[in-house]
Amino acid sequence: MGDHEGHGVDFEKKADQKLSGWGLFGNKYEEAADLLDRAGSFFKLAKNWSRAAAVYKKIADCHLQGDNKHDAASAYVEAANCYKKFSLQDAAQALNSAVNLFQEISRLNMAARYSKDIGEIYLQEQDLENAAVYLNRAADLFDSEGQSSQANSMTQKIAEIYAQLEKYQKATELFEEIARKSINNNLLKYGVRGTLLNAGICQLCRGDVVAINNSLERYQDIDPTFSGTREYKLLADLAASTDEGDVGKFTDAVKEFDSMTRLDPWKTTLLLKAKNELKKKEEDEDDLT
Amino acid sequence: MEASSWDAVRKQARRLEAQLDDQMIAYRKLVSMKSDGSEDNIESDIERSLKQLQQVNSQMQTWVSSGGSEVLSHTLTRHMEILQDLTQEFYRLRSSLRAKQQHTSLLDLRDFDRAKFDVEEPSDSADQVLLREQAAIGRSTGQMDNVISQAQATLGSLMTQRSTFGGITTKISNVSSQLPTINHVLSSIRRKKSMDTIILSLVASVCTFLIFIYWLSK
Repeated sequence: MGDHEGHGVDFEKKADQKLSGWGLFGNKYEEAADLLDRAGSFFKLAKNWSRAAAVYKKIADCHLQGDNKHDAASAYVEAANCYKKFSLQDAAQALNSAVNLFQEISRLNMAARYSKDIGEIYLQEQDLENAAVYLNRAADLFDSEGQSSQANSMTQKIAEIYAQLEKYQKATELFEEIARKSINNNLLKYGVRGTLLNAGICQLCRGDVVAINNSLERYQDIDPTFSGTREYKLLADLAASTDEGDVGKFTDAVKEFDSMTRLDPWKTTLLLKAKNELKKKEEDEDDLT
Repeated sequence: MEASSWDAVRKQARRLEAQLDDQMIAYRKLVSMKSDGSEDNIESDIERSLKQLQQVNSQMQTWVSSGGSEVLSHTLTRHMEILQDLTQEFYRLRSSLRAKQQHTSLLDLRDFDRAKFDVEEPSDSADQVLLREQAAIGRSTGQMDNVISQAQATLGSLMTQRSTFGGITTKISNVSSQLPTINHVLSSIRRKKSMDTIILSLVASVCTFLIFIYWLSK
């Protein structure tokens, strides 16, 4: 372990000497980057992640001096992988630098991939606002590269985040957009009813009964088979119970659906919010009478 | 003096880590069992400990940045790793517990007893049972049709993929046949580059030498 560390330090010193030298023949930045790369490998073997990350950032600087943006971006990615071991914030910053460089050299696919990674890091850190920003960026990049299924899955995540942030209108619009895109795809059309259920749940959380009923009609236009599904039945029952202000009926409808298909945590959270709102209304009405 | 202060901070970090380990074990047990409302206390304790550990790590960070040795840097990285692992584990357990609680809360039984209502309902006739069964079979058939059509769509996609891969295979074999040539060209370029460097350095040194001789002969 100490041996690896020692080798790493040696290579880093050699690289520093190269950088401080004249470099008459050959490119000193290129040679220094090679030496630093070997140093980074040794630091990784020694599990000294902070030192390895610092070295990879140095490599990125060397490549930028030599106007080699692709290798600089790759070095930032390596630095981010090291940072992930001990500091997710620094990892996100390093990946952001990589994404910017990949965009500059028109490697949009790579930029999209790493934007997605940044979004997932922020999700892990439970920073939903930033997660939405980077996942949005990833979705746009995937879309511009014609990778519709990847773009769809990003948009789905963004919509879920918006719903968690109580931006229900935006979330509903995104879910409906996904459904419209998916209905024409042979493989994606089977997931449409789930997406429409998500959109309907977001509408429920807004508590506008008229909007919910209008949405149900609109969803049948998007997918003509939707009215025969359990998802439609659930939404219709929930809309009716919301209209009547009947918490018991609401719970029964959810229970019936859950007995067949277990609700995931996201749906559970939103349905619970809707249920609590309904309870509050019921209590307010009781107070008035 | 400095060493003792570093040792004190590190000892504090290790104490907090041990404390957090114990708290996490208790919290993990609580998550796996039915929650009884005591989780809020443990959660706030863990959050407090994590904040303290974060502060201690920041203190260690200032030590290292003000000219600490390699060993100190390595130690700090290890402590930061531990903090991150504990934080992630806590977030995971907490979200799992929240999901469980919310699910229970959402599917809560109504306050009034349903049993008394069931008594008043007449028992189903044989016809109704058969009708219900027929409806269930109809629904199952519909579901199976859905699954079959989905499988057919998948099959179509896979067949398209197979033809694509067939095309790729031939392209790759073409490329692999050209690879030795490319490799040869690259090594030639590398040789040429090193030769250029050598020649350039020789020319430069000869010129310098000649200038030096000219300067001496003057």
